[in-house]
Amino acid sequence: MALLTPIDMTALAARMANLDEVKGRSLWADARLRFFRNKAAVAGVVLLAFCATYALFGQLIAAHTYDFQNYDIMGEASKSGPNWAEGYYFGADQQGRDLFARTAMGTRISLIVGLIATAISVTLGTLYGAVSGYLGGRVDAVMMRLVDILMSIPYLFVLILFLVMFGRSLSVLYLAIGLLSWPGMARIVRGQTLTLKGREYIEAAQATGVSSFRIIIRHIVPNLMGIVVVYATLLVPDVIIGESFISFLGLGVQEPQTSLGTLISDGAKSVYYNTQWEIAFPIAFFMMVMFGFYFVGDGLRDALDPKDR
Amino acid sequence: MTPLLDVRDLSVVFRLRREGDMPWTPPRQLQAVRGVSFALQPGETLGIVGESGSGKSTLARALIRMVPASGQVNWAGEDLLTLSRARMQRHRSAIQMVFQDPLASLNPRMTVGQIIAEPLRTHYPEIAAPEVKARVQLAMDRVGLLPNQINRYPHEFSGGQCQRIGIARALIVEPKLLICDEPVSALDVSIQAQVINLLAELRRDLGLSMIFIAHDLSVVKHISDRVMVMYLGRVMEAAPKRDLFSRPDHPYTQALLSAVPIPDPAKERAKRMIPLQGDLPSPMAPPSGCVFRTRCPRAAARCAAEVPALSGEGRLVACHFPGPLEQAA
Repeated sequence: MALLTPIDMTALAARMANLDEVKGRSLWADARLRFFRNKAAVAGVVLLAFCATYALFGQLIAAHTYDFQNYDIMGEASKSGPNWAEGYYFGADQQGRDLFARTAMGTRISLIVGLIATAISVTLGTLYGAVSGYLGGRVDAVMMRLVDILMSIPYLFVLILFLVMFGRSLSVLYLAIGLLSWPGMARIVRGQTLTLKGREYIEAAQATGVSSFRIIIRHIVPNLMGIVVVYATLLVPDVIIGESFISFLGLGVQEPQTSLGTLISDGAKSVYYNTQWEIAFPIAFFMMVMFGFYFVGDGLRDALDPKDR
Repeated sequence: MTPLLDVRDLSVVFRLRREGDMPWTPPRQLQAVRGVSFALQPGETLGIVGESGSGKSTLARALIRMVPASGQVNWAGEDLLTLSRARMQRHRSAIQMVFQDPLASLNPRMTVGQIIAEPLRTHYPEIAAPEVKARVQLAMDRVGLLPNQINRYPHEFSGGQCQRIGIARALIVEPKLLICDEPVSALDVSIQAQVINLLAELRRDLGLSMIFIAHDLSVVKHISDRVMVMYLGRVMEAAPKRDLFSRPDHPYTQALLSAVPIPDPAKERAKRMIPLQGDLPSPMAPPSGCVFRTRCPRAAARCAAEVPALSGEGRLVACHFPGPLEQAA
């Protein structure tokens, strides 16, 4: 144990007692600093925080529940506009339901679907791509051909098929979107893994005998996180758009629950009756969420990879 | 004395596929290392020199099965090349490696403490976390790093410090053999000396054997007991350091030595240069016979026909016309 008996133990002990451990600044900490210096990114965070707060607590503030139908104003465009005195801050829809509460509900469901589906997609895609890229050779070829096949299947048709087969429920919706959108993630991750695989620190780990599984988990995946996080923030709005489209077609979320897509769809149908508020408020929140995610995504990309800006 | 490491007839062949090849086209073969044999005594340091592409690094990687190889690598009574993965794993902690690019060989997302601890955690998972930390701090102190820097990240260190981290990582499992793959090529000259001296000191204190790969002859001269000169995957000459540097027998060694600048203008001008013409031939299509003949000042008809065997007592030379410089000229 020659290594572990230093020349002068007491001197070492004295030196170590005098020094506090220095806290290192990780690449993540550096990225965080850069991110918060980026005004657009911070604006994105603020927008998202605003939408999330509204989605979480909007129904508590609302004067009416999202499914309460007020028969007095039902179907009457002249009476159902925004009305602060009656508590209809955003107005009411054709069925006389409070649009403020319904938009909060819609934002919440859209965000939940976006986040859960993206989480499923990112987890699957990252692991699949990292394993495929790291193992390489034939395994990689077979795994990537499978991805090619999955990517060539028209996404929306399968999604509609899923919803028809397994029933139209929220969990089927986000599971289906998550399960269908991971191949893109897998491809990106695999490409990045291929470049990481040649790095010397991976070779160093292999030379010491670290198992492939641990190399993927400890060395590959943490170094992939930058690109994964960026891709994920850009995937969330995609998923929300997909969900909105499905709901717009009437296949997504079921009444009396609602999502931003359903609300916009309903609002679009009633534009003839001069009820602009019915489409304006859901679209405003939809756009805020989109802009928020895009700004945050761009900010993250700049912060995590300062080299190629 | 039984050697620590006994390598016999080690060859490495890479199979290369070109872009657009059909699955059934036979891959092209690249012989990176051919028929290399040597023995390493406990406590001995073997320097391996050669131009880029001479197979030095591939040889080192073949020893620890990082690239597929044929031949024998005898270590502790077993042939490493035929062991199962699980049995090979037991020997991995005894043979550690230090890499060329100090910063690139450290994972940027891990702290220095995590990096140095990795071999320990891989081979001795039963050691508890506080003990691991204590050992990491001792190892850091041993290679000249402040133990309180344990939570810092690699990018916060200089090249020389990063190489010290790499050395600490290799030494934490107390190996018997340390393979240094050009450990100082990426460093400034002043830092090179510090790292070389650290390696020499550790070797003395810990009784390490070393395989030291470099393309800088003065570095090799400083640290090695024996030197092996490689060219295009073959050993050209292997001899004790003193013999090789004072009286090289192989024309390639002579050319290499004559290219080392002497820090004295008068001597430097008086020195006889042996210019080597052309580049290293492609390892895909190596010359017949002696691989060095295309650039050798002594080349004759026999060199193209016969592969010279590596022969001799104590010092080994692979040449049909070996001999000191003056004699042959």
